[in-house]
Amino acid sequence: MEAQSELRQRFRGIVALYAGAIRRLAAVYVPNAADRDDLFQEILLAVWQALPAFRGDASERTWLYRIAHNVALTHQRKNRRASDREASLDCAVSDSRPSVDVRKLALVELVSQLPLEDRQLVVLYLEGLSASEIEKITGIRAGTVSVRLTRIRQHLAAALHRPGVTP
Amino acid sequence: MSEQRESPDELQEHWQRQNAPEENIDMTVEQVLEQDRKYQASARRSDVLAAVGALVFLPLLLLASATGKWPEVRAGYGLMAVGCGITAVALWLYHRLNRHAPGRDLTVRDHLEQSVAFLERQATLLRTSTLWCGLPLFLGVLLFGAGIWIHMSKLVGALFAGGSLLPLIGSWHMNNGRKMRQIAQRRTRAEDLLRRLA
Repeated sequence: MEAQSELRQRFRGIVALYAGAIRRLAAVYVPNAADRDDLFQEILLAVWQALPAFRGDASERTWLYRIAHNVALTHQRKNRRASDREASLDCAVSDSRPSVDVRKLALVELVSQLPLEDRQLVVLYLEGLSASEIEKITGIRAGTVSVRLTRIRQHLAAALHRPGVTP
Repeated sequence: MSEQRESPDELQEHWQRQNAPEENIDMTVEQVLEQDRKYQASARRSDVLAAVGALVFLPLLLLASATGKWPEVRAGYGLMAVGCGITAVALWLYHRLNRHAPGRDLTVRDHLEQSVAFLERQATLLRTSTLWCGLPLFLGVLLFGAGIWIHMSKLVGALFAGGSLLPLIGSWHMNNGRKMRQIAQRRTRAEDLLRRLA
């Protein structure tokens, strides 16, 4: 009973610390608010279920983002609508002409429009994780992460400064 | 150049400023714990259903196969009992497999690789289930119909066999096909993402 209450306290601490980050992550993976809430809950549920086995081999932050991204990816594979949206957004990004819609989008929307593999990296970067931490989460080598992030950052910075975009 | 106007820190600042509503921590924690309770209850329900299948239908079918009027009917009940038993074990295995999906605290790449292997195992289980679950059931029903055909009435025997087998095989085929398509779609997406992450 005591262990359960201790676990609950640890979980409460994690929610207090990372709820905002998880909500931001959910926002770039799923299109609408209801689905986003579902994904947010799903991630927290996975964290709660994995918590008893967490022995602190990795940092809490790395461990949490691993779970969050894996749950988000599984959610997306199961959710056809999200996947369809991803396909259409991938097409939009590959078209480099600045459109009126793109100008109006803020940073979260710009990130949502990136291809999934870039989106994963940039979300982690934007949350303040280093390339080596991102390697521990995604399994992509830190060098590759840095190269990709440079390209994505340039794309985002340019898009944010197109006329009409207010971050 | 416009690309250089936004420093990395500014991007991170913009990002972390957005989309951060005030969170009611206690309410969120309660919701998650409630969801967990529901999840555990639903897992228990699946186990109970598989156990009920084994504990109720199996003895009934075995009893019928021991006391059946004609040998064909007895053999039919016997085969249905075998199919029913294997189905109960397969359902239990399937749920167990679902509950032992790849751990979520792996790296994204490892998780995707394990997901592909896991989906492959699920697909194999489903693909072969027609042979070792469905076949005894279908043959059992057919033998039952044959018993009626031989000892009672050809028309009733044919109607029974056709009327039972067609919907049974049809729903089995549709159900398996739907699940196989879902698994194949998820596997394709996982493999596609793995390629893109490489």
